This record gives sequence, structure tokens and C-alpha cells, in this order.
Amino acid sequence: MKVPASELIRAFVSEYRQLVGETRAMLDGVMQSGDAPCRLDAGAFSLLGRLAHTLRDNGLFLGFPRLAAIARVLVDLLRVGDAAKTETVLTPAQAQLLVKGCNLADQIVESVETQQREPSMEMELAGFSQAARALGFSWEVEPFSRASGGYREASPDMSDAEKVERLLAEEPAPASPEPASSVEGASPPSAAADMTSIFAQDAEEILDQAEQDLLHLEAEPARLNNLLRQFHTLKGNSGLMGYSQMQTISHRLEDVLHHARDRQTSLGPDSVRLFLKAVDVLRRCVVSLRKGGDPAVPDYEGWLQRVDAWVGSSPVETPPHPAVVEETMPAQSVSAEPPSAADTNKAAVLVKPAAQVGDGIRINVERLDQLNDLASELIAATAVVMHLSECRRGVDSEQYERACHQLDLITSWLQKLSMSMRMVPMELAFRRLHRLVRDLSEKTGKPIELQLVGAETEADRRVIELIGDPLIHLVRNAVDHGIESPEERRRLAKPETGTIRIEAFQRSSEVWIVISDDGRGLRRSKIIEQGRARGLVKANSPLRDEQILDLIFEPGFSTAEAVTEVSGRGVGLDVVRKNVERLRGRVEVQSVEGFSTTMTLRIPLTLSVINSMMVRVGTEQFALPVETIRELLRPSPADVHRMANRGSVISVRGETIPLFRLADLFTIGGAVERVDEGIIVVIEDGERRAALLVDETIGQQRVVVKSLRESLGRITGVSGASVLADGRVRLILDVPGVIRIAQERAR
Amino acid sequence: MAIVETNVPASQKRTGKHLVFRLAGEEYGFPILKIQEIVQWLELTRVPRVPDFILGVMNLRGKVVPVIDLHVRFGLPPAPVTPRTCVIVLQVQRETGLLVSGVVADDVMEVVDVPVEQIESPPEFGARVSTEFIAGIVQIENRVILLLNAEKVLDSRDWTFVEKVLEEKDQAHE
Repeated sequence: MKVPASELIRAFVSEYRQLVGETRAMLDGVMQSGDAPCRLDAGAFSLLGRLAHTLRDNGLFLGFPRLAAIARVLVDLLRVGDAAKTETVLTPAQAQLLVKGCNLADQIVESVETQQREPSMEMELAGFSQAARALGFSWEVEPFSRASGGYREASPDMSDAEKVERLLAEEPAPASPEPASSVEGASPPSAAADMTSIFAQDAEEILDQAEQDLLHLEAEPARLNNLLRQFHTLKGNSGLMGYSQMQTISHRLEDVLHHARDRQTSLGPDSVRLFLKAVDVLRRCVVSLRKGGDPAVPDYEGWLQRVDAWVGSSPVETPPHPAVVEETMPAQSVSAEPPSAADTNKAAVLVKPAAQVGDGIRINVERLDQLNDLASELIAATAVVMHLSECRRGVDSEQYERACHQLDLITSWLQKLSMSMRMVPMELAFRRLHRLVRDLSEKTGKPIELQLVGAETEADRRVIELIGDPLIHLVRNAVDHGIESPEERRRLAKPETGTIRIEAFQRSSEVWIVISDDGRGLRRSKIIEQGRARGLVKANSPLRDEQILDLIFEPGFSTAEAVTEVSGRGVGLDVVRKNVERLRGRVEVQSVEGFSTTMTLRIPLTLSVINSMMVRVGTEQFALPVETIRELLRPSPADVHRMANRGSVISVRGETIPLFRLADLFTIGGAVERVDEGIIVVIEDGERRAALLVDETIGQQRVVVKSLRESLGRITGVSGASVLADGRVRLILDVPGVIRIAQERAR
Repeated sequence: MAIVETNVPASQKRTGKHLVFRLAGEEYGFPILKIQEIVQWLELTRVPRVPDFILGVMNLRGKVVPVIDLHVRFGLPPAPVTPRTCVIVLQVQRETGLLVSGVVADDVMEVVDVPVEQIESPPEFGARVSTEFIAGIVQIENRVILLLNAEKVLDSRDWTFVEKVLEEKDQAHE
């Protein structure tokens, strides 16, 4: 997969805009300092530094030499200061050059965004270069192979490598090994705390991206260039923040990549493994940083030696003996023993437990503008309504109605927009799975192909956050217990490589995530046996297939021995279901014994607003999500049949559906008794249906869902509450839960 | 047996201000710093399948807040709703965040300043309320006030257990 040039440019422009947004005010301040020396605090200084580095690196990488040249001057200029100082003082001439450079860069980026290429701007550039030289900075626009500029295909030609070499040569020498460790301890970086958190978030993103590049490197060697860029950026950022150990490690890793690129080869599998470990180590630094600790590299000296040994030997053609990798990673327990189930659990430790979406979120500027527009429209519309209500007399109702309608319209736009801002792609939850499967596959000795489909599917960021753990659980189960060993698969005439497929897509107002494997499937007989042993199934009570499979989600099935006995599934499946239910979603399982298991997670697209039907039972009212209602009926008593000891059923066009009074399920008094007195709501949850007798339906309404979980815990049959126009609280029914209660009654 | 409240701010330890309210004819107190507000009794929305001491949920300016009946929680005789009945809204810190809940009071009396040294530990038995809810006892003139532990009173950790029991009851029911 090659990322199209326009995509890279777009990403760069967006990154640039974000940085510039933060530096703009500062630059204005710089300009106002006039002839006085200009003072920059540490936060401002490192922000500017990052901006300059980003411009320079991207200018080189994307092939915009003028931009790179300007940025190089800025980088040099900012070298007068140092991130560890609390304040950096620029002379008026330096400050002017800084502002000029930033303005020029801004113009170039503008034209890059619209025309995908640099403007020539001979005059302006001449002025800038003169000013730069006057202050003793070198000015050089790199000749560029294709005059038109624009994005260059990553090619292994030498001039390219040379350029990268320059780029590296320019960097301040990485902290020499001897003072490195003391630097970290002695002078804590003085940059503001929010800089640290920006750095940490960036570093996490960089490392995530690097991991992805590493995992796909074999199939797409061109990703080497991305990797080079990731580590280069990380090196630059760490350097600016004064984290010399991270900087040095990144720098050395970059060297290894550079080396590989010089030879026009890629990394071997062992090198990839080393890099993945390095990514983990660097991640650990970031974690420690986030916790307010020191970003010191664990076993720093060891890592330096390891990486140096790597550079020294030829990493590509003759990878060092694999044993080197094994024994140099004592902390990570890469064992040479035959893989066991226990090992696979350890493997998962390497993967962050949850998909971290980060505290911040990148929002398209256009959407923010829309938000602003809507907010001002809302104020205007509210003013109209207020005005009308003040001069109540003389206002005709049509006028008032129109104003209210307008208000309603804007409010619902606003809500839609704010919701769309919360949407993030599924990719963030999928990110860790490649690594997970790779690690698990290595530890269990089962070759596995992971297919991810629909990573671009969007869902609420809370969904993405909460779905990370269940996904990891399910994938781990599939590898651990679903997929057979290669020998067994051969015997069964299955392809030796197992397949796990994860597909995400939207269906009506839900996101579906379907996880399937072609392993051994679920053995019903064992599940029933376990269910009986745990008292979950009454002896001799006939169970439908879905009820049997549903048992694996019972907490009783999550113990280790059940896992192995019940052909597999089980590790924390009750937890998976709980997490999904927290999102008002549900899990369904299907399995063909001996061939496959499919788990389907269905989660509502948005969590906060639902379309609902209000129903009344006695004096109480409830909201039923509209998508769970199949139909409303006014049946004749002749359609209702009493079953001996098993409640009633109602036949609807030949189909027999169990019938319940909602009043019975929730013990409500004063509700209608007979079917012909009330109305019947047929609700459905997948294949399961139930007919509920209520007194009346009141109408459809959009309601804002408020969770009761924090204050009241999980309540079967109730998914939340909402405050309606009359000020009263109404409960929102959880249809799968209601059906479960009903089924328990009928049992 | 002294119950040590670990997360009480020092300022409260010094002043010991408590809101005194009446429940089934007896007087109780909550630390004033745990109290968010006092609202008039209003009609609640009943919630099915929760423990019976949860009277329901109310609308507190757009927020949905559960209301607890301490008569039931403490096993006291029920009291009718009168014009003096009100809801004391408490907030306590939990791992998951701030928990806001209301408790019903038959009448709210006053705020008293309880000198810390006058607070006695609750008797191990014989008190009209289970000692787990009591932070201490104080005597002011001829009144005996039971000071309650807001965290314990609102603690819902055992409620999930209740939920389980209800489910089992449902199954046994048929």
C-alpha cells in the first residue's frame, strides 16, 4: 500500500496548522517586541523548535527545498537557546528573521496545500537569505531532481540517501555515552508540563506508526522511508525536550535504518524483532514520562551496546545469530522453550491493554468553524425566542412556532456536529492487533494470518476506547484456543496457516465488529456439561443452540480449567460481554463445530442520543429504542394462547411469540390485564423476540441517554435514563435485558 | 471501635460541622462538606429490579440522581411524606469519580458545630443503626446525634450482589 502524495501532504499541512495555531500568538508577541530584545519562555521555545524541525524534515521528505532551506535557518537560529533554559533571549534582528521565516513558511505551506507545490517567491526568498547570511546563518536551497517539486516517490537512489545523510550530519551530535546517564538525572527538563504531554502524545503516535511500519515492512519495503522519518522525528523531539537517552537510542536506530537504506535493502526478520523491542522500550520511557517520571531508557547501556553491535555487524545480509536477540532481552522473557498456553498470556503483556485514543483529539478546522457558526446562530435564534416571550402580547402563534422550529433545527444540527467530532476510525482499535497476533503466533508456534477489514469505519471515541480490550481478549482466545496447532490442522486437511478475520462496518445505526477464526469451533456437548456442573443449566431442560452458546459468556465459564475443557473459549468472555453492554451493545456467537467460531459485536453508533418510543404501563412510562421495535399490534384475544405452566404466546401472522405484561416483569401495579385493553409492542434482539403488553404508546421522541451505571450499577432490563420535557425522569429499556428477564420467567 | 475517616479534609476535622436531620423521630448528622444541597421532596421515578432502599431517581437540573430511603436501609419504621420531607443531596468521591446521590430526610434541623473531642465511637451493639454506617455519636445538651459515614451509606458495592439475588429469585419464582 503506497500512501498517495496528496495524503502525505495533507497530513503534513494538518500537522503544521496545529503547530502554527499554537505558535501564532507567540509570534505576534515577538513582533511587538520591536527594538527590544525578545524573550521566549521554555514552552514557547520548544514549540517553535518543533515547528522548525517539522518544517525542515517534511520539506526534505516531501521535496519542498525552499521550505526546508527556510526551516533550516530557523533551526539554526533557535540553536542559540536551549530547551533546558527557562528563558531564551533573541536579539531584535534574530526575532525579525524568525518572524519573517515563519511568515514565508506559512505562504509556502499555503501554496503547497492548494497546488501541491512550492511557489517560486524569488524576491522574498532573496530578502530572507540575505538577512540570514547577515546574521551568520548558512543559506542553501538544495537542488532538487525534479524541478516541479512535489512529492517524490521514495527511491533508493544515492542522492536521496545523501540528503538524509546531510540531514543527520546537521543534527547536534547525540549526547556522548559517558555523560548521558547523568544528564537525565541531574537536570530535569524544565519545559512546561503541557509540553511534556504534547511530546508524550506525539511520541506515542510516532511509536505506534513505527510499529505499524515495522509489521508491514516485509510486504512493503518502501515503508523503510516512513520508519526513517519516524525515528528521525522522535530523535528531534526528544533532543528538544532534553531527553538525551531517548534521543540517542532513536538516533542509533535511525542509523541502522539509514545503513539498510544505503545498501538498498530492507531489514531482516531479526532486525525487525529488535526494532519492535526497541519500540517497546521507548514506549516504556513515554509511559514513565506520563507518570511524571524520568524518561530514562531501562538498561540504557545494554541497549546502546546492542544497537551498536547491530550497526557494526551487517544487519541485513547476515543477521547475527538469533541467540543474540534472545539473550539480550532478559526483561521480556523470550524463551526458547516450546510454547505453552502460559506463554501466550505473557505475550499479551507487551501489548498495551487498551487502545489509547489519547486525551486530545484532532478536529478538522472546518468542523470547528461550523461549530462556531452554529453557536452564533443558536444565540441569534435564542434571542428571537426570548424577545417573543417578553412581548407575549401581539405575537401570533405562527411567529412563535417558527422561532421555536428554528431553535429546534439548530439544536439538532449542533448535536449532530458535536457527535461527528467524537467519531474516530476503528483503525485506532485495530492498531495493536497486528502486533498481538504476531507475538502470539510466535509464542504458540501457530502460523496465523490476520485479516483486518473496514479499519476506516468510524465510531464514537468512547466505543473505540472500550472496544480495545474485548478485541484483544477475543483475538487472544481465537489464537489460544480456536486455531489448532499446525500438525493438527494438517491432519484435519486444513491449511496450516490459521486465519483470523476481523471486519468492521456500519449497519443501520450500529457498528458491527465481526471476529471469526477457522479453528476448531465450540463443542456444544462440553459446554452443556460445564453448564450443568456449574448449575447454570437444569438437568434435562432442552436448550436451543443459541442458549447453549450463550453460556460461554457466563462468569462461571471464565476459569482456566473450563477454558481447556470446553474446547477453548472462555478467558474473560463475561468481561467482554460486560464491556460491550456498557456501550449498550451486545455480543452474539456462532460456531460450526470443527470449522469456525464467529463473534459479532453490535454497538450503537452513538451513545448519547437515541430515537425512542414512549410507552405507558400503569402510572409509569418507559422509553424503548425505536430500532428494537418490530411492530405494534392491537390483537384480538383469539390470537393469544395460554401454555400450560409456560405463560402465554401470541400468534402474529403464523409466528408464535412469547407474550408478557411489562407490568409483570417490572412489578408495576394498576396496569391493564387483558390484551384487548392495551397495545402490544413486539421487540426483538437478533433472533429473539418478545411481545410486551403495555397500556398505551405515547409517541416517538429523541432522548438523551444518561447512564445509571455509576450510581446504581448494572440493572437488567434498564440501559439508562433520560430527563424529558416535563422534567420527569424516564427509564430507557434495554431490550436484550428485558428479553432475558422474560425468558427466565418462561423457563 | 473507632472508625477512622481517612479522606476527610483537615479543615473538617477541626470544625466538625454537621447537618442534623430527623429520621423516624431520631436525629442524625452528615458532615457538611459531603453535602451538595438540600432539595424539596419531589416525585421520583421508580426503578425496577433494584434494592428496595432505592426509592427511585430524580431530576436534579438535568442530572439523573438516585434517591435512597434510609428508613429502609437502616431498618427503621417507615415515615409518611410530609411538607417537611426533603432530599439531602450528598457527594462522595469514588475511584470512578464523584458520586452524587440523594437521601430522604423527614425533616432537616440545623447545622451544628461538633467539637472533635466530643465525638464518641459508636457502641459495638445496641445502637438503633448498624455500626457500619456510623462514624460516631455526639451528645449535645439532651440530644443524642448519630453521625453518619456518607461513603458507607452511599456505598453501592454490595448492590450488584442484590441484583444477583433478584435474578436468582426470578428464576426460583417460576
